Amino acid sequence: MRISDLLDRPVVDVAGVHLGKVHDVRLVQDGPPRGSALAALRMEALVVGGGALSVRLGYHRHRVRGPAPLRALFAALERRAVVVPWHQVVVTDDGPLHLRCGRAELPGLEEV
Amino acid sequence: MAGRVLYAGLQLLDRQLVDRTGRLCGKVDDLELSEPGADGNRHIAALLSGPGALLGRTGHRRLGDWLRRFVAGAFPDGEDPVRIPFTRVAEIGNHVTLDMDSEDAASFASERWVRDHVIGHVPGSRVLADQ
Repeated sequence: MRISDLLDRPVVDVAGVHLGKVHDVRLVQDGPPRGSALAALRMEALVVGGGALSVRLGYHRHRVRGPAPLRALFAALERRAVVVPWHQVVVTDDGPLHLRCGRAELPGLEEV
Repeated sequence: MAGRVLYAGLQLLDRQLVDRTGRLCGKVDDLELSEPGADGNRHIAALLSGPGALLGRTGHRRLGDWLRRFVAGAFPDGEDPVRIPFTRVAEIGNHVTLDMDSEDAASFASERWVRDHVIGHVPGSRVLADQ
């Protein structure tokens, strides 16, 4: 499996509610050290929904400090995005990615 | 201890690859994931670089597959996409630094073919190449 198999895939929660598309994949570098180089990058979560565009553009609110209108715009967009923990995803070869949980159980982008 | 957080699309894809001597050796066009471990986690297994991988990522998978077959058939040591194990990644920043030489990181089959069959026949090019 490749990252490209996940990006832009639609996501549907356990109730059949469409959450948007996968816009990015959140990785955490806490895996076992491999060779003499970096610790492994673990797939932690998918960033899903229209507001995830702020991450793809590098305007995640923890990083952008201004200008104020852009900060306000992307903060508003972020509230529409959700972060889907990888263990909640049912992986299929094609079609939408289905989740084991509902939209209400997922943290927003501003909570991670 | 919480590890460093990276966003694959923002901080890895399309980043420049640089070998340990500072030579540019392609871009990160896709990421290969490992099979799930006993705990269900997947890790980044390798970086993929090459037009075939990029075409596949941008929705032109059939064209990417054709290009991969063409490169494999046209060049004896052709490989597309080039697969770089994540164990050979030394640093991730504005660019991705590899713990290897570019000749090992990428097959450069097409570049070698052009060097040997085209550039090599230009008068004076051998002198420069030998320096």
